[in-house]
Amino acid sequence: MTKYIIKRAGIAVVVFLGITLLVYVLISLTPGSPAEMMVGGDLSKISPEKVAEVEKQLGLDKPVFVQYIKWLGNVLKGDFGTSYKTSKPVIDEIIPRLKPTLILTITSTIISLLIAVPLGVVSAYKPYSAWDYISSALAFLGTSVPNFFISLILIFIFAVKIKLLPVSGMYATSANQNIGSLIVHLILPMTALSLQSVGGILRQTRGSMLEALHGDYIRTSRALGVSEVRVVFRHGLRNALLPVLTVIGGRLPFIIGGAVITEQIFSWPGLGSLMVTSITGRDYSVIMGITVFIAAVVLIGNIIIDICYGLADPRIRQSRT
Amino acid sequence: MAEDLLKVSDLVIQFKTKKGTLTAVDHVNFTVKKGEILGLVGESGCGKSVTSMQILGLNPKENTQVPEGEILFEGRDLLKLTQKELRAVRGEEISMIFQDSLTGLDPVIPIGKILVEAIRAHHKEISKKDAWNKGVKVLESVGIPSPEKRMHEYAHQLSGGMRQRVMIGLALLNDTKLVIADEPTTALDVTIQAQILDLLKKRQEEKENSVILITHDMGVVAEMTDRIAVMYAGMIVELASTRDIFTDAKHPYTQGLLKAIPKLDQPDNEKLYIIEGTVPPLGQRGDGCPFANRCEYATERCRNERPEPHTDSNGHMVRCFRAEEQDKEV
Repeated sequence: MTKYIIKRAGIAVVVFLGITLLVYVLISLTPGSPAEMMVGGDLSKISPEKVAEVEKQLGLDKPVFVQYIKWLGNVLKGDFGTSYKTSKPVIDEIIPRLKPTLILTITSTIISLLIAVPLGVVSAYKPYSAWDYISSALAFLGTSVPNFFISLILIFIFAVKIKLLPVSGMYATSANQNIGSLIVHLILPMTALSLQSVGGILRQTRGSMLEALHGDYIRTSRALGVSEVRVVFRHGLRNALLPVLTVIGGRLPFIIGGAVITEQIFSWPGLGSLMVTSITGRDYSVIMGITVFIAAVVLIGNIIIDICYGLADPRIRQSRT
Repeated sequence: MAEDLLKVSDLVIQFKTKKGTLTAVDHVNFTVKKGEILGLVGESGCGKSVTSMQILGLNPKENTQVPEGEILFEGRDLLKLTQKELRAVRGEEISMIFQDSLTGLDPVIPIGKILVEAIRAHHKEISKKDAWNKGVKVLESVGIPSPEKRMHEYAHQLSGGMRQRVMIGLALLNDTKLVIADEPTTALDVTIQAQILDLLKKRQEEKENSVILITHDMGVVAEMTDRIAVMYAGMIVELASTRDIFTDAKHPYTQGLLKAIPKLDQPDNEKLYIIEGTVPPLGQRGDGCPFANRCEYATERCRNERPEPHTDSNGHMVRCFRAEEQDKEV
């Protein structure tokens, strides 16, 4: 198992290098340059000489690949560069933003699991019942309605009409950062984000649970007089969880990607909103820094899912040793 | 004469499908006496598994209906039990051994935990540790070497024969009065088959419980059983002592089954005997004898009228007009 994890980590490093290279090249291909932004003022009146001078200062006049190698070398030393916009080190821009994003994505993943898995089990236990149809319809709705739309509806109902929850932000005031205030502010963005994942996880749970419940080992357990609750959860669900893990693993990038939009709408001070402002500001070094972190979160998340596979299924655990 | 442990009378089992209601088991009658091994023989789809599964109420509830019949176990009608009462019977009074032990054992739970769960499903008073120790003893008693080690292993780590031994161990855990063995050796190779049958027989002699042995292997029933019920297309067409079935089979289907057993002294150039044709599918069985389309003696009457069970003075039951007439002539 340890050997397997090391192998997976090795692959993750290669993928990671690929991602950063690709994003680096794509950014340098986009029109506009940070130099123009730094010189400032009306674009038509900027003197090209001045822009070229700033570009030279930043090292942007060199070939893309040379720039990338230089950037990568610095990253390996722990230096993510400085923000072109605020002149602060990139790492200082990102670290305070990482926590809010992780709070939002992790809680919404847990919430969507807590909603989707039990509903999926119930649907599979009584397939084609009224309950099954209702939960399928809701799942379909949650998956197909765009995230931003759900967010706006939630804000309209709970913040504007009922005035039960705050419209946006993470705390009531920046001076008073207590957990109660955090939870109240977290509810709406978390709900919006989790509703999107509920559908996929629910359908997968239902499908694999339906298959598991038709397994011969379920019949064996029943024939031994094992209680129905144990038959369904201990034998059925344990066996059905593996495909569910796959879906969660596959959803990781979407959960984090979806967070970008959700964070914008709810002014959640996470990586997503930092990313949007740095893209519009052509703040290359910050964009690259965020790319590194998001890629790392997704890759590490996938390795964790992989380890969970082994924990859930002894057959996989064995084939890996 | 030993007492009846199980008495199945006029059992009808139907499945609701999109094509309508299909009758899989049609007025089946048989008894299992205390300490007896009854063989239930027939080809795939004849209703032998469906019948045995119904005894424990294991047919899928959503589409199974039992419009007629009784399954009396020690005088109690199992068909009328609530789910909770039925659960108390399963594994405690009647247990079942299934055919495929690879898919029949939960792949993600170690053998030991499956055993502990099965013991504690009926005996909450036994601690987990005691149940574990009992599990080790049970594995030992069904001939599994180094049982302590096996307790920690998973189904896929055991060989087919070992897994089937575990299945038998599970069925024998709580000293049930009736064991239903549904093709317990079909998935195994021949040498292992003999070992498993030996084990079943030995345990049955020790505990003096009753066994329903379901199989399509005439060789197996010959060695194992006291009486044999032959099923065809949802009906029991012949029921008699094992000796009578092998020496004096009356139904043309049973005769065909016996003729189809390959013999060692058969000339090399002689083809194996087969019963021509196939079982009529569910829903197309008509009013006549279900075997009429394959029977060499079939008459007009056989095609239009269903033979009723006819029992001779020796208790040899057969459902066949021809056999009935021959009996009268004697």
